[in-house]
Amino acid sequence: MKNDELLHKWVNGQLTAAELDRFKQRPEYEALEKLRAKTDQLEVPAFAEAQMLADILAIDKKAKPPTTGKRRTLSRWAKYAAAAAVLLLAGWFFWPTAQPVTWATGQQEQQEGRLPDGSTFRLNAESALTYQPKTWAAERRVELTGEAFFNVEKGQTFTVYTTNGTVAVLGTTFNVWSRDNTLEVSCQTGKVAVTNLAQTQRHVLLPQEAIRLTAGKVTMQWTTPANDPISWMAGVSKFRQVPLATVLAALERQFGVRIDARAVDTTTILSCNFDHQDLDLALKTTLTPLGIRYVLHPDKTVVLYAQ
Amino acid sequence: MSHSDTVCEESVYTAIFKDYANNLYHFLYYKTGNLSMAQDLTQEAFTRLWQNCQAVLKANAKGYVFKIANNLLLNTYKHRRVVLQFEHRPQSEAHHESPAFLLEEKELKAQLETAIAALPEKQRVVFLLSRIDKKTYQEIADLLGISKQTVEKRMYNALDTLRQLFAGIR
Repeated sequence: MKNDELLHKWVNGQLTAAELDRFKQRPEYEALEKLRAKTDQLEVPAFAEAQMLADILAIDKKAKPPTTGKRRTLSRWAKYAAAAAVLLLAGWFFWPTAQPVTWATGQQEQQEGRLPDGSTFRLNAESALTYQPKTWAAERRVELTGEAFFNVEKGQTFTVYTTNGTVAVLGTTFNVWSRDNTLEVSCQTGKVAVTNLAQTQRHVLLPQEAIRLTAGKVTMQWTTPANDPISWMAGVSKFRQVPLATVLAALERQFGVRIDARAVDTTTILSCNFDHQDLDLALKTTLTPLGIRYVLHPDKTVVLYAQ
Repeated sequence: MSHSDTVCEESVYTAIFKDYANNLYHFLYYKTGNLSMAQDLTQEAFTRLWQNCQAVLKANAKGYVFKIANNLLLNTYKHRRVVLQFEHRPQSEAHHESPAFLLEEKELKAQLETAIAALPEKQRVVFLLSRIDKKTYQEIADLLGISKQTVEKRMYNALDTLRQLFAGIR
């Protein structure tokens, strides 16, 4: 199999026309071609090669003692070993650790990421997640703005810090939404502890339970159907009893539009779902029941009018 | 040994640097998935070549920097999880794709990166040297100090794993 001559010739672009025809007959050809097309788009980020060369050439070789005699050589190696040790140690302390690691998404984007312990998360649009590699081993801690779904590996307490409070878990799957003054957490498996920012309230969620804190106070608690997928990951945004402003902000995030809502009351409370595929349909399902008309302009601005 | 043949000559050293610094940097990135580490180790290895220029023959310079970098690496990166993030080469034709399509493409890229990162290190290095650096099997074999048959074997295994990702995509 490893002597698959045609395959290796294909890799190196050495197939004759007749051989290529033969190769194309293979059932795996299509997948291989797609793999090649996609891999061809990858590029290693460049580094400042010229600067590095200049830096090295600027080092004065002559400053070093000449290398004669065995003793000298030995001590010289010892010196390098020490220098390398210092360098590695310095590197270990300062460089990979000083920088926090951040994932961020823009409008209409979702992104998946993996944390050092193997826990994974998925960010919804216009959200950001940060963690500090230096302290990760001591404390599993991330900071979140916006919305994310987490799948946390078992282990020490895993804490999500937001500007509206904290969410602490041991190993579970759960969703966190934190925007403006609202924190909404739903637990899918395991057990989740939600604490408001003032640390005056603590609520433990069991599977299928969800909670909403507004300005640090519980404003809603409900249960989600068993095995209900997190809707936004399936391309649907769901809202229950939220102000219209919240839904409009989500529409802006998911479709990359700007909504002019000066003519309508955005404090109206509503429950609605919209699909991320079709802007017009989403606007219709959200606004028509409220008796709001809208005009979609070509510059991606939506203007709302009261009936 | 005439003076102009030693690595201490700036022009000789510069030529070696230009021939191999980028190679070494890519190789280290493929192994570790860590850009800053790849860059630092490249710099360290070439700094040592410069400082030890009298002790290293020109013909051995490439082997010397790869060896140094590899040794430094062994001390530092054990047990780290490899995460690769490539830049996306802009495509030649202008595309006016829907956001959904672009998102799909982006996710596919992320999946491919994850799959490449999950390959055994030896397969990953061979695969990326071939597909990104466009090196021939013989060049890869020379660079890594392995046989061409070994390169073929690792490449075969890598392709066999990665193509699964694209089976069943339109």
